[in-house]
Formats: sequence, C-alpha cells, structure tokens
Amino acid sequence: MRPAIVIFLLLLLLFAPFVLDAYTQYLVNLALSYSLVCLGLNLLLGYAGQFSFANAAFMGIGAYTYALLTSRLGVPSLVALPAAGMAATALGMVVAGPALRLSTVYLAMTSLAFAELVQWTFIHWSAVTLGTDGVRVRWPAVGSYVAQGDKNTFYVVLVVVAISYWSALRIVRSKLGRAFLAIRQGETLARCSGIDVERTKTIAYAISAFYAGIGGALFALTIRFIVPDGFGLVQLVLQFSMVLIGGLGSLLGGLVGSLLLTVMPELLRNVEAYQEMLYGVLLVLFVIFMPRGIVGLLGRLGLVPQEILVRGAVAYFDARRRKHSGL
Amino acid sequence: MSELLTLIAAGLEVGSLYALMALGLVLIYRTQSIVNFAHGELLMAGAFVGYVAFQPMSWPFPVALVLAVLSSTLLGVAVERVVIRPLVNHPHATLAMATVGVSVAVRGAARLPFGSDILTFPPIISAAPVFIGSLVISAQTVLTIVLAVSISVAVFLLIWKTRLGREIRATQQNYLGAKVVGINTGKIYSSSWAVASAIGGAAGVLAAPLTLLYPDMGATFLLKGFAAAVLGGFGNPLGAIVGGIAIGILEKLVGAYFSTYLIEISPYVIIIVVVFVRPQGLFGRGQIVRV
Amino acid sequence: MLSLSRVVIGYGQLEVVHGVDLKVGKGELVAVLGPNGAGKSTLLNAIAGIIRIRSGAISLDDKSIGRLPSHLTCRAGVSLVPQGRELFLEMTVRENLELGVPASARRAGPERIEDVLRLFPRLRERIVQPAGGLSGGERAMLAIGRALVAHPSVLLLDEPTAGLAPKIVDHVRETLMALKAGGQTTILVEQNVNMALAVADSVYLMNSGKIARKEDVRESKDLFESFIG
Ligand SMILES: Nc1ncnc2c1ncn2[C@@H]1O[C@H](COP(=O)(O)OP(=O)(O)O)[C@@H](O)[C@H]1O
Ligand SMILES: [Mg+2]
Repeated sequence: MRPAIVIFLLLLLLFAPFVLDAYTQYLVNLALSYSLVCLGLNLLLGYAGQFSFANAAFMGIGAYTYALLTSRLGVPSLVALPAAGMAATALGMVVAGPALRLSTVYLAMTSLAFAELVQWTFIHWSAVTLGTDGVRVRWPAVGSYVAQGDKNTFYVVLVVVAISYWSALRIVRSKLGRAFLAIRQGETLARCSGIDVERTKTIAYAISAFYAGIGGALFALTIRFIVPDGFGLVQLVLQFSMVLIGGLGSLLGGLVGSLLLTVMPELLRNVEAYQEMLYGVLLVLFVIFMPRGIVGLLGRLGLVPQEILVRGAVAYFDARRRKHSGL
Repeated sequence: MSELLTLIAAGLEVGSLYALMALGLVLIYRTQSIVNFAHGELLMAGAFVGYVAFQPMSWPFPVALVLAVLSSTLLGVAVERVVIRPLVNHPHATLAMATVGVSVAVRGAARLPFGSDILTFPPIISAAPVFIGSLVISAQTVLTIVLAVSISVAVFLLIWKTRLGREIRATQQNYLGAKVVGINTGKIYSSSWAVASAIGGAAGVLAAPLTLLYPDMGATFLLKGFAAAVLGGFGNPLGAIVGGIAIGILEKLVGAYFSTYLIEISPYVIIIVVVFVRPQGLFGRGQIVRV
Repeated sequence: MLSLSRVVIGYGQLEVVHGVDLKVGKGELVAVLGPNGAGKSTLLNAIAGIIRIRSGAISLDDKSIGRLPSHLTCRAGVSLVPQGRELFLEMTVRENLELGVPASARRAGPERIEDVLRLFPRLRERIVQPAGGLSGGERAMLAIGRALVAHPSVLLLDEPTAGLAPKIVDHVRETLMALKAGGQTTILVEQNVNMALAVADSVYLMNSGKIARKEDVRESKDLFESFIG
C-alpha cells in the first residue's frame, strides 16, 4: 500500500478512542495485541514455511515476563516490553535447535510437548509465576505518565504495533525475507543459491518469537490479568485460525484475522464451548476451502494489490506430497 | 517389594491404555502419514458415551463398551471422510492444523452437554481383589489389563492375519502399488481410521474409571500416546505397545518415589529426551529426521 | 477389445495427453513408442484408472471404464505393471503375488501363482524373501507376475525392460511372446525399439501427448527405425 494511505489510516485510528465505547476499545486493543502474535506466527509459518506449535508458548513467555517484571519488580513498562520480546526470543532459539533437524511430524509433536511444558511451568513454578492465582497487570506507564484506562492504553498499543509492522515489512522486503521465502520453497534449492539454511531458520525462529513475545506483553497489559492456561492448545488453534483466515504469508492477513476472530467470539457471548467450536470449524474450513485466506480472496478479486500476498505464498500449502504425486 | 509390585501393576493398568492410544496413532500415521492430533477426542467421546450408557442409563458394561466403541468409530470415520480425505495429498503441516482444529471443535461440542461438572465413572466390577502371593490387585485393574491385551491381540490378528489387514499393510507400504493391484484405497483409509478410532473409544471407556471425565481429558492421553509412540519408534505398532507400558510403569514409579507433579510432565520430557537422544525410538523405524 | 477415443488427460493446469485414439483387438500386442515425456505413462495410468481422464472415453469389451476408480478398472480386467514397479517391499515375493490375486478368485490363487513361478523360475528361488531384497530384473518379473495372477483381459506394461541387463530383456521378450501365443491382450510401452518391434503386432508412436502414426509392423519396420533413430 502507498505510505500516504497508511499514514492516513493511522491518523484515522488516532481518533478511535473518541468514537468507541470503552468495551469496543478494549476489543480493538486486544485485536491489535493478537495481530502481533500472529505476525510472529505468520513470519515463521507463512514466510519461512516452518511449522511448529510453540507460538502460544512464545506469547505466554512474553506475557508472563512483562506481567511479572512490571507487577512484582516494578520495572518500567518501556523496559519490560522489549524484555518480554527478548525472553521469548531466547526461547525461540532453544526451539530452533531441534527444529533444524526434525521432520515436520516430529517437530509438531516435540513443539507441542515443549508448549505444554512451558504451560506446566507457569502453573507449578508458583513462587515466581503465582501459579493458578494468575498475575494482575497494571496500566502501562511511560515515565511519570500512566496510561489509565483502555482508551489511553490504546495509544501505547498502537505505537508498538505500528513500529512492529513497519519493521516486519522491512524484514520481509529485505534479503533476509527473500531467504525465508526461498527456504519455504525448498531447502535444497535455497542451499544451492547460497543461503545458509540453518542460520536463516534460526533467525526466523528468533524474530518470530520476538514478535509473539511483544504481542504477549501487549496482551497482558490489555487484559490486565493473566492465568497459565490461557496459553495452551486452544490459544494455538486460535492463532492458527487467525493467520489462516486472514491470509498465510501476508502481513495484512494476520491483522485481518486477529480483528475478525477477536470480535466474532464476542458475538457468541464468551461461551467457551461455542468459541472452541467456532475456532476449530473455521480452521478446518479455511484449510480445506480457502487456504489463501481472506486477503488471498480479496487479492484475487482485485480488491487489494496482489503484492500484499507474497508471491507463491501458499505454494507451501498447495504443494502435493511426493507419495501421492499427481494422483 | 510388594509395594513395588503393586506400583508395577498400577503402571501396567494405565500403561496398557497409553499403549492402545499409541497403537491407534501409529495405525493412522502408517496409512496416511498423518499425526492425528484429534485422537484424544476419540478417547474422550468414547468415555462420555460409555458413561452415559453405564451411569444414567444403567445399561450393562458390555453394552456401554460396544456403544462407546461404535460412536468413536463413527466419529473417526466421519473426520477422515470429511476433513482428511480432501487434504490427503497436502503437506503434513496442513493436515496437522486440520486435526488440531477438529480436536478443539470436538472438545467445544462436548462442553455443551458435559462442560459444567467433572464426572466420575464408578468401577466396572466390584468383584473381590485378586491375590498373587503378597500382592493385591483390584479386579478393576485385572479387567482393564485383560481387556486392553485382548484388544491389542485382536488388532494384531486383524493386521497380520486377515485380507483387510494385508491390504492395509500394502497401502501403507506403497500407495500406488495398492491401487495397481486393485485395492480400494479409500476403503483402506476409512478402515484404518475405523480401527484406530475403535481402539481409542475402547481406551476411553477403560480409562474412565481411572480418571475423571471432562471434555479436555483427551489431551493428556494424546500426549502420553505420542510419548509412547515416539519411544517405540513412531510407526511401529509393537513399539507403541511396549512404549505405552513402559511409560505407564515409569510414571507410577516416578510418582511414588519422586513427586506426583512429575507425572504430568513425564510425557513431554520423554518426547523431548527421546527425540534428542534416540530419535529412532527403541524399535527404530520411521522418518524422524529430515532427509 | 480395448478402445480409447479422444482421450484427454492432464495434471493441474497442464494438459499432457491431447485427444488420443487407440484400439487394441483381442489377443493383440500393441506397442506404444515415444520419447521421454511424451505422455505414455500418463496414458497407461489413465487406462488403469489411477489418473482421471478429462474427456473422451475408454471402453473394454463395450463396457465404459473411463470414469472408474482404479479398484473397479482392476475388477473389470485391466492390470498395470507401472514404470516404477511399485512393489510391496517389506512383504515377501509370495505375499506380493497373493495381493495381485483378486478377492473374487481367491480359491484359484495358489494355482495362478504356480503358473507365474513356472514362467519366472527365478522368483521361485526368492519366494520367501522380501521384495525389497530383489534385483532389478527380479523386481520387473515380480511386477509382471503380480499383474498376471489377476488374469487380466488387458495387460498394461510400462517400460518393463528399462534398466535391465540384455539377458533379462531377452527373457522378458520371450515371456511376452509366450503370453501373446496364449492369447493375452497387451499394451506395451517401450523405449527399446527392437524389443517392441520384435513382439508387437502393431506399433503406435506417441509424441507430445499425441499418437503420431500407426502402421502395421511387418510392413514398415525400417520406417520406424528411421523415425525413432
Ligand atoms: N505427477 C505429475 N505431475 C505433473 N506433471 C506430470 C506428472 N507426471 C508426469 N507429468 C508430465 O507429464 C508429461 C508426460 O509424462 P509421462 O506420461 O511420464 O511421459 P512418458 O511416460 O512418455 O515419459 C511430462 O511432461 C511430465 O513432466
Ligand atoms: Mg514413462
């Protein structure tokens, strides 16, 4: 999109708190936080083509790091925020180690085990995490200014999200971003064109975890109370659904998906059963019928520029498996 | 000494259920190269159907077992037909996502009727415990182990001794070859899921008296099933059985001599350790590491 | 009799076979020759029901089989020896052969397997070994044997001699002659021109998804050799 349009939209957003009621404002903040978590997942899955179940754990680490640093140690928000990203990054590097040499099937199981382990730690390391009691999170503060209330918090969230998206855009358009795509399209080929596959994958995990961690921190300061079981399998399915529904391999897709899936469940009045059914069914439907997501559809209809979707972004998901090739 | 034996008996009891879980996972994996993340929900469905038949309806246990097995089978076959079949040529990641979606959707559906409280399933039989020397084993434990062993034996006979089993193995070894000799591969897909889901449903009913019943109960069993299958070298049915029993016994020992907290994380730790230390599992086969 | 009319086949966006007509009379051995990528394997796979045809018709003894899935074309009497052999490598030679016997003819199985073992005595020596341990020639024989035990009305052979030693090629050729003498209807796809010309009643040339020409072999052997080179 043209920079002018983006700046115009951002300016428009600045006025959002004046027209939205407090609850809608809260939902917008939540959707924006999720959009960062999805940004992380999308970079790893949609761009670098790496499948792992660890994203919810990265988000959880970010959320807990931020919450514990600010609430229990009184660390300023502006320090705790990058710290949350860094903590998740550190974890991302740990996951990247085995991820480099595991086949998809084993990576899926191992990363799921890892995610469960992280959640278990949140629950049982109660000396630090306060266990199932959960952690209360204060309004964010910048210097002596406290962003009291959802409307003021919105500006904090908006700035962080805008910076993150801008930097992510720079990354996907850089040489590194092209290396991600090359790996997704085939490691052997990528290697032949001189890409250090191991290093690039590790970087992909690190960056993806960083955004998910920051997203987790924003999530924490938006909902202001976090509990350990918010970062399990259901969370992961929610994120998969958001990315897939929005559009895998499109930065805009993550944003669209988070907005939709944050608002839609509210229509179900927060009944857990219906929400789970919604996430699950939507995920399956989109995987089968619309693997390019909404942005992909808009692109095909010419409503958004095609370049918003990475070229061949879904080739990864359209690719046939060799066992049944052509049959 | 007798305490140790009692622990081992208890380990055998849960372990035989993990083994059933792993057996189903491996069967589906070998037929379609799919890791079924919804397998825990097949167990959960079986447990709830068994509960409804056995408790509120007060039907005899065998009837409850059969109903549970039938409904899990139906659910599994439906999932295969509706969700898996259209995606069968797609990459593992796509399929994994789809089965995760199914898993969460089924859990949500179960939460509607059963979400509000945690149910308990009474022991299936109230016969006197069995004495072996100084060892006392409850009739329930004996029944669970006997049924689990019978189910496993039946599955092995099916796979190794029947024409259907041979066709399943043929399809697993060479999909195109199976088509060439006139095997209806679609039927084989359905049959594999049917058998795997039936095992899952039976495991659910057997697990019900041991654990509480709640919509999320499948998750624990899924991970233990994964751990058992990984330990046995994902893809090897016999390895899955041995892996399941080993994990059952291990977890009882860890629980008794170390801490019960560790029981919960044992599957995760086992998966991670096996993947790092001996990725081919105890009975090495299957493609773990990228080629 | 097998007949194809205006058969079109493709993969995804790509159309690979563009309207092929082909007739194979009862007891005939028809060879299809052509360069790599001509679409020969695609054509055989389509006749066997493994790939769907886009349009056109395939019929076997006046029964339409063009839209049937592979297990039904098999039942209708079509047996394919695929280019990649596609054996069950972890099963023994006998199990591979047994799987070739249709469920409806299970009783006749041992006898049919015995016939194949007479045809390929090498397989008898290996009968209890897993197919994964066979040599290339033995694999070709097993693949052919696995198709024969179905007693197919039409046998489809996709480059059965590719990569084999000359002696084994001779053996396969003699086997094909014997089968033809026994009245077996066959389509043989080959790169080995001499082999094809030696056994075929008639030869089709296939190029870029089209049947280029059809001649009677005995009349114009030279012409083909000059065409294919
Ligand atoms: N599974 C497949 N997917 C896509 N294209 C294919 C596939 N198999 C074959 N093709 C293409 O179809 C054409 C014909 O292939 P094939 O039938 O194998 O030729 P032949 O057997 O004559 O060598 C080739 O251009 C090949 O690239
Ligand atoms: Mg070919």
